[in-house]
Amino acid sequence: MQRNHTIKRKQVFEKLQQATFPYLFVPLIFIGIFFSNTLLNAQTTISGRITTNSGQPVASASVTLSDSLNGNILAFAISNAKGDYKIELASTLKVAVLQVRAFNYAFESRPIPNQTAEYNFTLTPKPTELPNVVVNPSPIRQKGDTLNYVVSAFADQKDRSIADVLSKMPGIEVQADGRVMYQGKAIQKYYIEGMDLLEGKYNLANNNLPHKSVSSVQILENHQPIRILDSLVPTDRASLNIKLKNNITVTGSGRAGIGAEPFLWDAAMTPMLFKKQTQFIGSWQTNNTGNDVSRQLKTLTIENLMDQLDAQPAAASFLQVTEAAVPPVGSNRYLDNNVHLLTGNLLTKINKDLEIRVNASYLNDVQNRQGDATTLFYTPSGEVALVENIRNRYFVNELETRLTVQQNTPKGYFKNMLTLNLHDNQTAGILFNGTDSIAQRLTRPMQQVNNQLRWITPIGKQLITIYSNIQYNQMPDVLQVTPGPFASLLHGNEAYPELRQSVSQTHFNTHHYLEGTKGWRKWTFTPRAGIQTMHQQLESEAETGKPVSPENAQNNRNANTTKAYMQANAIFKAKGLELTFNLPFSSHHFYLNDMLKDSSNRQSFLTFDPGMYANIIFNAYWRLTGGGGYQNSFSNFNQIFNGLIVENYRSIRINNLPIAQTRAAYGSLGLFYRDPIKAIFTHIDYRYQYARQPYLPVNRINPDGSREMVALLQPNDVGSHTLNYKFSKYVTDLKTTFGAGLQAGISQSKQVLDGTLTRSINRYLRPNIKMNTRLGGYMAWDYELNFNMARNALKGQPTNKLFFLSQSLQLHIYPAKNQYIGLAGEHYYNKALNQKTNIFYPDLTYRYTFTKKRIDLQLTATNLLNERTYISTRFTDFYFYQSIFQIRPRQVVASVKFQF
Amino acid sequence: MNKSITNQEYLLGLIFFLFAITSKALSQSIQITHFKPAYIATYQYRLMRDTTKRNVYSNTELLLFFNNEESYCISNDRLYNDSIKIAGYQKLLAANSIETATKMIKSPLNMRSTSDNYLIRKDYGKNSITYFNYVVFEEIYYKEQMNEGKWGLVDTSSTILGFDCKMAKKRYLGRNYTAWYTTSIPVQDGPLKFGGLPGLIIQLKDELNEVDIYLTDLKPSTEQVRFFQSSNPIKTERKKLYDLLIEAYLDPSRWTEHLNVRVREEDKIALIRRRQEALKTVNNRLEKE
Repeated sequence: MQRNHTIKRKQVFEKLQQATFPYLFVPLIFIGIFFSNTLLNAQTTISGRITTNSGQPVASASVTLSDSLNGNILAFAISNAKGDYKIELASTLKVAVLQVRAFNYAFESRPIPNQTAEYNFTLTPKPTELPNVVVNPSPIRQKGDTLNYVVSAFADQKDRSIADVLSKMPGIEVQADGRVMYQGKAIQKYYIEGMDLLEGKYNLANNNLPHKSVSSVQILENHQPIRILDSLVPTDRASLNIKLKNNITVTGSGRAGIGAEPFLWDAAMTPMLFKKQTQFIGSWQTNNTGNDVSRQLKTLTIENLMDQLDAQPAAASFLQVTEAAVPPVGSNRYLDNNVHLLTGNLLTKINKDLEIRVNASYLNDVQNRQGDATTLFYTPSGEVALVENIRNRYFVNELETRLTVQQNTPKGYFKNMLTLNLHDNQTAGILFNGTDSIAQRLTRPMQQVNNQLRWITPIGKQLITIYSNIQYNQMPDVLQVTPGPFASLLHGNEAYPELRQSVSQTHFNTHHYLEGTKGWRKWTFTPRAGIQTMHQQLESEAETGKPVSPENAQNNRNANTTKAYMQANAIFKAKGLELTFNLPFSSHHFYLNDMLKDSSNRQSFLTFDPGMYANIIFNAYWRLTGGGGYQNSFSNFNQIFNGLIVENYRSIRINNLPIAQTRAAYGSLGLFYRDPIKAIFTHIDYRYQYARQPYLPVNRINPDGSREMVALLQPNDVGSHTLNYKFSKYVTDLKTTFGAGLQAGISQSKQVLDGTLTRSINRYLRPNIKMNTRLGGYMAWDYELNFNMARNALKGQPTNKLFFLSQSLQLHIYPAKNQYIGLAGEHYYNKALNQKTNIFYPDLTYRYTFTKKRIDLQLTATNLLNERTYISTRFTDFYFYQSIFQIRPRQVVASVKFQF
Repeated sequence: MNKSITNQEYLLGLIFFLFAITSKALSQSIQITHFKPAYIATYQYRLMRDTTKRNVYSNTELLLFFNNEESYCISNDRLYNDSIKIAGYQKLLAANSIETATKMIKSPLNMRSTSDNYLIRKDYGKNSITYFNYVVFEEIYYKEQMNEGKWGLVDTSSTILGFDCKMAKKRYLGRNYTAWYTTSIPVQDGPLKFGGLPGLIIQLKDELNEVDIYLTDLKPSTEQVRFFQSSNPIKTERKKLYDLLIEAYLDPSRWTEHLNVRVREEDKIALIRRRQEALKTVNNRLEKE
């Protein structure tokens, strides 16, 4: 406004100066002066530029106009990037003080007349000195996660108990029922001197403890009361600790339930003890309701999960009792168990950083499985059908113990785990194949000792990891089959009563490495040098009752491998780009010694398995990944033995293979899009793999259904393409996430069936749809639909098709805060070889919680339609398989869960 | 309250954290912002979150890091969490494997829970405010001009914490504020998004006595400060970000479902329920418009 006015006035003046009517000019000057004076009094513009001595502009300087040096500020401006400022002042003052203050420059000030003008300043650098802030000591001090309230600062005359004072502390609130809230959330624990004496019943103390005996109240934010979980379970809840002015806790939980039918039980007791330096959690659990409690022995912490990745699993057994395949449904649907689990975990702190942990568990279970299996072997010369009725009983006896010593300080990490596992598992089975009844018994004892050490220590600025893993195990397995199978091969074509196949494996494996890290500009290099050794001794014999077993029914061989490797991982990171290179060089030495034939085989290989991976981020929405590489692998020793081994009652395995090297190439490409605000997530990725195996597996199917697996030394090319697509979108108005996905794949390989080389092609297509809705805190439902369409084609054979559909709907209703109703339905549809299966499982759960007493009552009814069997179908390159599996009948279990 | 569900929730949080740190996709987008402030101002920020309980305030410690070009305002809790995340992230970078790193990241578990997860950057030269916040894992931001809603200067002086302070008033996003600022600290800054006065804001209150922010400490700094940010934050509008934060607080699962983290529906519902309860005690917010 002001500026426009000024410009107009200037223009008028210019015009007037050019005018040829001076007599008009004179009065106008007066008018002009008059107007400009009034305007000046109303609004003045002070502007200018602020620079340094060297002429550099000073931005963000405060320019103020005051009535006096320390007086009232009338107007102000802040200099811009060019150092320019402009202040508009509407005041009748004659003189004002213009002051310039800028960070780390000397203060400037000058009195100016209240007139539109320009004032430039040149500032001299001078560190800005701030006065020390004197803050009154607050009655509330925060130190780390702990908030301390000084009680005396909040207490009044009328206050008696600590509860009276608590309610006055900011952020703390005491509700009518005595519950203490912090920041609107109930406190988790109420400690007195760090001890949780009263658990949740802290009213007793809170209302009776005189505040005068309390020095301070501590709020422990993000407090995890159970120290054993401290590294596992973070929390955003607060606990309260009463520090008195002037040190053992036992707790736990339990569950008890009964049901029908037959008589069902489900019970558990979990006591815990917490002391300053010691913690203990034990548990005893038993049920026959199909609840697989052994899962609780599985890794519970992320840290342990990682440790298990390093430990090498015990080798697989060569021997099996023929089983009906378990259905692709939850194990609680079919597990017919009678389980007892006992576990104890003790943690003791030796000092602040060093701790010792002992974990031990014993699992005892008897499981029954029943089913009918139909196997159709299709060969170029025709199909061979095999029908089996199978009843198996599994006896599980497993003792697992572990001793851990751990030191975890900011300076380093040391952890040593010594594990001792003793298993004595047995399987007994009766099988009827239409003509004969066959008894099988497999005993699988196992003893395993493992020591794993990991030590991470800084050397200079780098972290060095020293890793050692040493493992020894023994597995003397025995399979007994009555009557004796393979009479033609093993017993001179005479029937014989029993086969006793023993396979004893002893392993001694070690793995040691040294690893470091080195950063250079945008690169990170992780060099590692290691040596891995494996020793395996295999002894086997198929005993048929004859004084001397046939020589080819025995094995006694030693296998040793040594792998020495150097590898360099390199990661390049720049904005929007990450490249990972993996460059391992390995030297492999294999030594096989057949003690029976007194022959040995020694081979060495040098391998280089380069790989790379790229991740390109275009922007917040789009990302592209890609990678590829080349990899060598070698035969598993378990595939190399000269003598025959009877795997199960109808399969003999003879693997007379050399040490073989498989070469593989792989590649992948993925495109990702995400828009979190619109809640759209989608990606597509493609993978390709090609491998050249040095041999072909050959199946020889005998007329009685038994088969022999031998290998034909002819290169086999295996290739596969996989495509994966996913999409999801959340619709706010419907409170629903919609998802869809598709997996598609094709793979091909060569097979030899009855001496004929055939090409086998497998294709699959797996679309799925998901919907998930949550209506506030009262109701939710989940719906999921999955299809699996698979085709298998052997050249010259009709194509096999399989169609599988599963859908599930779960409805969760919360009629009240302490009640829950769950309705679930699962539907499975299976079609293969013109066989159709339709199975529907509805389940119902109702739960009532006594909040104060922390007791849950729960009623669960499963398999309401009382389905008795599950029919599943699958096929591979050379057989079609269908199993009719006995599942758990309808059952109702009522249980109570409590804490003590 | 069912404890096992609660634990589940926290375990979930841990998994998310480890996922965020270890996932290739996410770790790639992590950016550590370095800033060298000349001074650190500490404020106590009190907000009445429930207007029916007029004597209960939430207490947040705010830190304002500033030099002569820009400033960052962050809650002490967020800064503490950032330091843990950065340490974890750097250990991950330094460690030779994810396993090693997860073993060494002990601290995510000690992270503080806070609703003050924002990071406010003021660029004095560009006269702009960038407000960053995390919606579950996603860093989302909006931009605003500095000093929206013009300050009116008032001829009143006072001495606060030894500073000669002057008063200014303005209406901003539904509240009438009174600020006390001192010209002896010549930065046009203050806590949160406030600033634009010819000196640092020492105290700020609203007319209804629902907001009270005051300086508790001011000291020079020579150390670098670091913030855990995304290299690809997503831009949005102020009101949209607020809606997203509320929506994600009530039901964070839609922000994580695509990560293939499976959580029992029952637990999700229980979480929603607890959060709804918690939100009931929050009927007041700083920005009312």
